[in-house]
Amino acid sequence: MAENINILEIQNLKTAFTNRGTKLYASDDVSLSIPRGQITALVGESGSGKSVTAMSILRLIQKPGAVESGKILFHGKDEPTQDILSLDEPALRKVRGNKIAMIFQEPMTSLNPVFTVGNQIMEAIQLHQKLGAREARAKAIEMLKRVGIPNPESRVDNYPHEMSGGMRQRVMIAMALSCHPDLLIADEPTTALDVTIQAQILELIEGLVKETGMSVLLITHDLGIVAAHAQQVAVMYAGQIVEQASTLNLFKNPRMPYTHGLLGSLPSLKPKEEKRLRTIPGIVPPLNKLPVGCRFQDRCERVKPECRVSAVPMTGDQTHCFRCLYPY
Amino acid sequence: MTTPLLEIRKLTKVFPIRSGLFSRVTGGVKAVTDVSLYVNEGEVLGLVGESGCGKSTLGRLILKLIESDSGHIFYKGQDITKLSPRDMRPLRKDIQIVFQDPYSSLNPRMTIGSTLLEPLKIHNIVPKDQRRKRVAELLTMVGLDENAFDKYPHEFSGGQRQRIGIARALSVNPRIIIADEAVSALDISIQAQIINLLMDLKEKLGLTMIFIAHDLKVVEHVSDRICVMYLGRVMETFSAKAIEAAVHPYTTSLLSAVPLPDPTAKKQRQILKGEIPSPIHPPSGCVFHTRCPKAIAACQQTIPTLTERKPGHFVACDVV
Repeated sequence: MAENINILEIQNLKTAFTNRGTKLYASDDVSLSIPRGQITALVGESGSGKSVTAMSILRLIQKPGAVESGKILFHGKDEPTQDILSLDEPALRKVRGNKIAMIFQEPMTSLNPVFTVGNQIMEAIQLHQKLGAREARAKAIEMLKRVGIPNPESRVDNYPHEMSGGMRQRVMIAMALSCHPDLLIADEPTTALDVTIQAQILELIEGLVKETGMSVLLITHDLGIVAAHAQQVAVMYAGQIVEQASTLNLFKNPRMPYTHGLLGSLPSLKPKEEKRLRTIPGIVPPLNKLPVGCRFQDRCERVKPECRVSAVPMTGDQTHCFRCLYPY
Repeated sequence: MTTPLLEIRKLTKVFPIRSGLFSRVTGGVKAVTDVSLYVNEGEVLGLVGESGCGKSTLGRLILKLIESDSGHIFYKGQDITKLSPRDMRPLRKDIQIVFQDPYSSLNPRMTIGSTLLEPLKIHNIVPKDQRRKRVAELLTMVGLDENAFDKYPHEFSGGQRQRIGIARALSVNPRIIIADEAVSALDISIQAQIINLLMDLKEKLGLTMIFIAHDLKVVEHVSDRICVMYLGRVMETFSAKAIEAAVHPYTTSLLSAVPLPDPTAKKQRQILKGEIPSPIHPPSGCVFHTRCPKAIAACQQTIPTLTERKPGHFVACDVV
């Protein structure tokens, strides 16, 4: 059987949060394929549903939220395809943290302050692999070394508060990678870090992709990071993916007016003729006040009456698709 | 040469660290060391640097929200460093600040109207019967509806709150606005709106601005001149137009670390090793030598002085 070119396929995912009887879809009919051995970026502004989508993949959504429908097909290495949404708890545990690992934005709060970092990495290792304490510790040291922590032999006994933000994010990556995952979900991994440290961490992730062949779903709001590090990109707006393409195509030829506007509103270091940034007027509509039809209609400069009639489907082909009736 | 509107000479601030019995001073965080810079009238000076470089402390020192340990601040040629709070008061309205967090910098129990009326009352800017009109004017100026007057901060989005913060700073007709990470917490599309608003207002009202941010792309976009700080010291100051001509190894690595929104941009990255040292025990000599790709042995001993290489281009480095 030929291996599927995608490591993960999200199909029509709907994740809802219930508030006083009304359902709000934070992730509304999201379909996304993550190819093997590449970095796929999921971009969007706050509240666009990128983190909810990522959390849904690992079924980390808690009440009052719930994944309502859809499929998340995981094509692991040398194993049959699994739909993560239909796995039972023991089977899920074998995937979560093992085949699919996740790192979060806040390296300060995602580590337990009362255990040493070594302990925490060993816990992850021993949970998924049959290793003794000594071997697990050796493995933890090896992982720390791999993510570029100096003196891993002594650092392994540090508590999180003894480390800087960049170091802690490295520890999180070491922990996530300790079980050799096929897919790493990185949710805003560098947002809390300084630019020079951000460059180090992204370089590290990129290096690990090349070295181990793992796939990455990189969630970010920074289009600069997308351009520099991702091969594929999906743009989210108000709970939906509105455009999806290879990074080159998306930046060269954005079709959906939202993507177009977003790219135009970025300050860049290039010399410019115009001192004013292009802007997108207005704000993202709240999920409980979504307009009928295209969700971007009230901020769009190309809006026509048809845009307000019914939901806009994805159009285009596999290499470049978008939700827009009047694309650029 | 005309006197700059604001000038800082050799400004230093150490925050004492107290510990043990009787809270004795056991050390100090060297937040700002020997910083000299100037801002000309009508200019935007960008202050950029990573966390802990002292850019926010510098902003607060200029406002005299905290007292400096040594050095001088001149406003319109007058030394304001040692002014008493009473003497400072008339000058306060000349220098205003817009904070980063639009959520915590507005009082949640005050309506927007009363938030904006307060500075007008304190500084007695406009006669009592015209204050409400002035507030309405301010709201329109920052692109908000006049009916915001009776609303509370929670009824507004982050971008709108930042507009209110700007209106509050503008209410007393300041000469200088210090924008301390004023757009950092905002989403891209909103960030662009606020940047444009600040630039429009600057033109319209002839403001001078100190724009503090960690995002080099944003700073480059808004500034006339850029001042790069590292561990409390100024590394380099240059004209934003001549950003390509920046030579300090820290500036060039900072520039190369910024991911550009262009996938075809060729990557020639100069990734800095290691982390920012603690400002409690900054490295000897040049503070950057521990991470500098061009450091030589001498950098560990001598502190480089900020020297003018070309008109308006100051560099603190003995190697390049």
